[in-house]
Amino acid sequence: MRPQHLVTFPRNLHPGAWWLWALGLAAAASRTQNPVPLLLILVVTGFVVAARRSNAPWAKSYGAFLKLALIVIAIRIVFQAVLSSGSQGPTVLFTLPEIPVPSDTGIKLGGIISLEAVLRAFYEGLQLATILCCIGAANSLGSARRLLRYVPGALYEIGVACVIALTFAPQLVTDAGRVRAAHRLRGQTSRGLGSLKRLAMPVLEGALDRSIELAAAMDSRGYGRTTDAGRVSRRVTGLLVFGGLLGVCVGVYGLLAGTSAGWVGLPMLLGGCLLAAVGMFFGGRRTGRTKYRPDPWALPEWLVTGTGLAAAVTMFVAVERTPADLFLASVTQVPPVPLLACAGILIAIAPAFLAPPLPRSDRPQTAQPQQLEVAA
Amino acid sequence: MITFDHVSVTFADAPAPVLRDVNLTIPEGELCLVIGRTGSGKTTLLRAINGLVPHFSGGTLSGRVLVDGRDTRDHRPRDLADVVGFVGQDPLSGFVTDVVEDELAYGMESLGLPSEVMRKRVEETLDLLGLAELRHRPLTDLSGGQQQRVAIGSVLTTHPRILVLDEPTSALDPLAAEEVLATLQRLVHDLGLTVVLAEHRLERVVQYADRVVLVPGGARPVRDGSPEEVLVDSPIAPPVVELGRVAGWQPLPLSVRDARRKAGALRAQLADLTEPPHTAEPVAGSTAGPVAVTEHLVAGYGQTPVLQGISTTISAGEIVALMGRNGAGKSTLLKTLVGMKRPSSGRVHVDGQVPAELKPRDLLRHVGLVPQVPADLLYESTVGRECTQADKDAGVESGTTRALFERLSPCVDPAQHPRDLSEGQRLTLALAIVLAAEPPLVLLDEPTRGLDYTAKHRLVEILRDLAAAGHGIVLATHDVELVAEVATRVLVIADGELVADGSTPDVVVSSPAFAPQVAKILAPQRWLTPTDVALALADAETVSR
Amino acid sequence: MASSTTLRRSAGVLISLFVAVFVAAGFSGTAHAVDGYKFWNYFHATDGAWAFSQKGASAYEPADGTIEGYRFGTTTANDTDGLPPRADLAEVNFETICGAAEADVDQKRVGVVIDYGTEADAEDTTPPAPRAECAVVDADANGLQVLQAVANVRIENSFSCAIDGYPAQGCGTPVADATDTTGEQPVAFELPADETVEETAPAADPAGDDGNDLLFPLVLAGVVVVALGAGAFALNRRNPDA
Repeated sequence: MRPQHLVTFPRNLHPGAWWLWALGLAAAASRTQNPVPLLLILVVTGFVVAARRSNAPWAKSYGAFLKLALIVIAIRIVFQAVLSSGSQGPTVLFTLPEIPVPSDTGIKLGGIISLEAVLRAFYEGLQLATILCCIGAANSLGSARRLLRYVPGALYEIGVACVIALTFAPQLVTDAGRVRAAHRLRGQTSRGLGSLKRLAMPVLEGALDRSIELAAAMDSRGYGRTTDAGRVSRRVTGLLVFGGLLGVCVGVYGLLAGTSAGWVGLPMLLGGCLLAAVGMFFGGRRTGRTKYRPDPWALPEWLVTGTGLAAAVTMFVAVERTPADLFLASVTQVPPVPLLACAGILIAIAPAFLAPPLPRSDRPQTAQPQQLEVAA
Repeated sequence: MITFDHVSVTFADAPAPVLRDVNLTIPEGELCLVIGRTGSGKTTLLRAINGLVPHFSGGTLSGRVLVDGRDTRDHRPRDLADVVGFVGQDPLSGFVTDVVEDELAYGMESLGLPSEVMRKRVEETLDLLGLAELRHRPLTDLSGGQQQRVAIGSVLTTHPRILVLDEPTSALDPLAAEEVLATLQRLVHDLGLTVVLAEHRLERVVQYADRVVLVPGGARPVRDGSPEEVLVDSPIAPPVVELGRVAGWQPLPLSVRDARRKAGALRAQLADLTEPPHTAEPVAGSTAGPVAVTEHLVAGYGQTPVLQGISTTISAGEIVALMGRNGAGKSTLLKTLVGMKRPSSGRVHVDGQVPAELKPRDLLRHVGLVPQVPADLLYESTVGRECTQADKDAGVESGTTRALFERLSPCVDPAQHPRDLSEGQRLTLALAIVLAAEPPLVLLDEPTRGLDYTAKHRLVEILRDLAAAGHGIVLATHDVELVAEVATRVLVIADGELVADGSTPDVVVSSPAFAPQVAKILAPQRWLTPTDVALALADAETVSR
Repeated sequence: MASSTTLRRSAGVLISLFVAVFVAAGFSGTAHAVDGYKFWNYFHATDGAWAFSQKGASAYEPADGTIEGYRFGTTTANDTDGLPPRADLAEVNFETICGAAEADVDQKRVGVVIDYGTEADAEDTTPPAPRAECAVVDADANGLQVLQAVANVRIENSFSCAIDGYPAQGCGTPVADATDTTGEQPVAFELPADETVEETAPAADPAGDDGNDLLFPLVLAGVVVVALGAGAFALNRRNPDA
């Protein structure tokens, strides 16, 4: 047996496996508003991330996503429970002083706050927060940039665009911080529309300069040298792939939303997959790029993907069999525990043990002590 | 290997060509140094080698550039990727992947090399550049010198015959720069690579160069030749060459070692003369109290303290140089002094105030900072408007900033866009804006990054004037020659602590990393700059007459 | 060149196939779908007849002594009258619903008629028997609060999707081949017995009796969540660079 089939052989798991695992959990989370399975998914992602993350900068992003998730819940509660008049139930928690607003706007400020409204906002926020955390887990376990290496040849240009976006989005944020701090030195307060205008110019100019620099670097390193097919065939493959992906998106939406007409779901998904595959096959033939040390797709990858898929499938089955357990008839009822769905989610914790351990150099606790600091 | 044949380059909206009628041949296996003032066309010359000019930049190129027999007119940069490796100024902005190993492989992937070849070449390159330890490390976690080495490695894997580098050490501290230059020298000597690099800090590289190409700018003819020939009357020269000129050595020494072997007589001649003190002159007519005081200052990011108990005082009229490795805490100290960062314990007082508690519009009257990227301070669309805005911000009479800027950088069209200014002009514009409010304390973060010698001399004069006018000045810098020239006191920070604090000669002469070239040549005597030596010699001559 | 021609030709075939599939799917979709939707219709009883409410329940404040009606069923997109509860207002009226209920000074009594609809609209289940309840609520309660006083309401994105857990999932589900139902016969409604008038409390826990059975798995799930959370925290602490 080749060593990469061993779950104990230290190596980096294929990032695609992590993303599929996380998408499985996210799909499961999208099908229920019962807080019990949602919380389970949340801690499962947290546990696996804690067990298998590396010491790379992107591996720390789970914490940021978790914070974002908490903010989402808080915003949801404030806007739905405190600011909306329509959703208040009969169990009044407390009454805030009310500021009169014309009733037909559907907005209220203050007034009664009911348990039902708060709980409902919390559950709905929790669902969104859980999905966010799934994405965060995928991002910190399998680098998005690394994942983009596996984008099929036909979509290579799009992959590159994503790489650039991934680089510049965080860079824009740090640049904006730096420029804001600099404006304080000129006696400017950082508030108001004027400050935004003053901020935009240096930040965007910086971003533009850097993207030009990156483009020059890529060009001089041979980017695009081997993709010299005729324009027609490029257009055709592009169209095929895009049409296919569109089909896939519509199909997935149809399946997940569960409400659309029958033809939108599975047939569309399969048709889209087929088209995209054909397009990628032809598109892939025209690029002469090669891949350096591609991550193997071996047994652990299958296992990790499988557990994520298992969580999703059991959730879908559970929704079919006992929908009442997954869509609460009333928010105030004690949430039932959907055993099947929970069991499925708990399977997805297995990657904490099934994914191979990280090679020593990537493991956080063995970070080189003499590691030089990055400029503060 | 590289031939420029009557090459002229004109960019679209420029009135005159950047390069005119360049004829140049760089033979194989040479390390060729391209020097010239900022904006003289160095970068254009370098980019013409791998076809970025004109394929990527636009503009028109007349004449012919032949690289390893390929004409850049018919070959795009990507078609030259296996012949020319190009490394830009900021390695981080040229990285496409996020791990060292993948970055090394990127170029080969683009060329479609088979995976066994890639595997072998990555290993070879890792060993060649001493990166094997770092192979799995994220690129953003590396130090500046390591990043630059990875950038070099990432173009070496395609086995180019030529390596082109645009100011590879401008952002690095002296030791990291050594690391990169040593690597380059090894590539030239062991692999027979042809290396072409542009650099402002000649003192770092000129000794390694086999050939120097001087791009004088203003479309004057490009000169090339051996370093000794070119530097004899070049307007830009490293201190070792200037000292050679002062002492009248022939041929000119290029390295400290060469100079030291010739310096016996000079040392004897200088032995009886007194070195200039390099201390602050008392400021006439002012109270000359401390403009900044820190006591047991601790500041940091999250759990990691960057500054660990810094206590110091900065007086009016002093020019204090803040030195230390990248990441030692220089920038953090400046940030706490302008209140951009709150100390987690200890005290900071600037001009009697606590900077972090001041409102922005009061702050600028007490302390001003010219950031590492001076353009951060600028946001208007013309220089004139920038000045008017600064007057408003500072609440001073209109025209003040304009007048200051005129004095620092004469003859700049106020209708120009700040982006179109040269690095030096942009720095002086930022400085003028900061000075408009007359803050007693002026801070500069890496002011010489990207400045040529002429601009640096101008900066030195400006700083001296400011100090004489009673401003306290702190500059964080890696540039030892600048420090030798201008500083009256040096603080060395390491690991967040103050490890040295004293007058410039006391601190730098004995330090291997921070000693200027003249000090190394004339040690144990405490001379710091060629100008000091020249003045002392001239004085001695007049006295003896 | 030959290969590129083949490629182009096969791609052309594929594209036309693709377009054909899409068009066919689109047509079949539109042919089937004079789309109707299945949801809870909201009515007010005015002058002895059902009137389709022009407002959402949360935006409407029923007066004391009125009757609110809810009916689950399918209506087409161009139907504007809604699908009323199959209650004969002569028999199911305020007196018969709320006659026995008593309200305080600052409260009001509102009759609520809930019709779970027909077998045809139920998915594989039997709809619960239609019922009528009397809600005794605060005088300024809105329609939704009135309804919640007598039934569990599942609300998703501010839509009332289910009453007493019926239907178990979905919200405003589209229905292909929908037709508007007309001329339905009234059915019998279960009226509140005199002594079991509900006060303000919402319908009790459907599983209130076997609370222990429900509590045990919940506690177990809670323990699992806490244990995993603590485990994640501990693992994270062991990796000190976070």
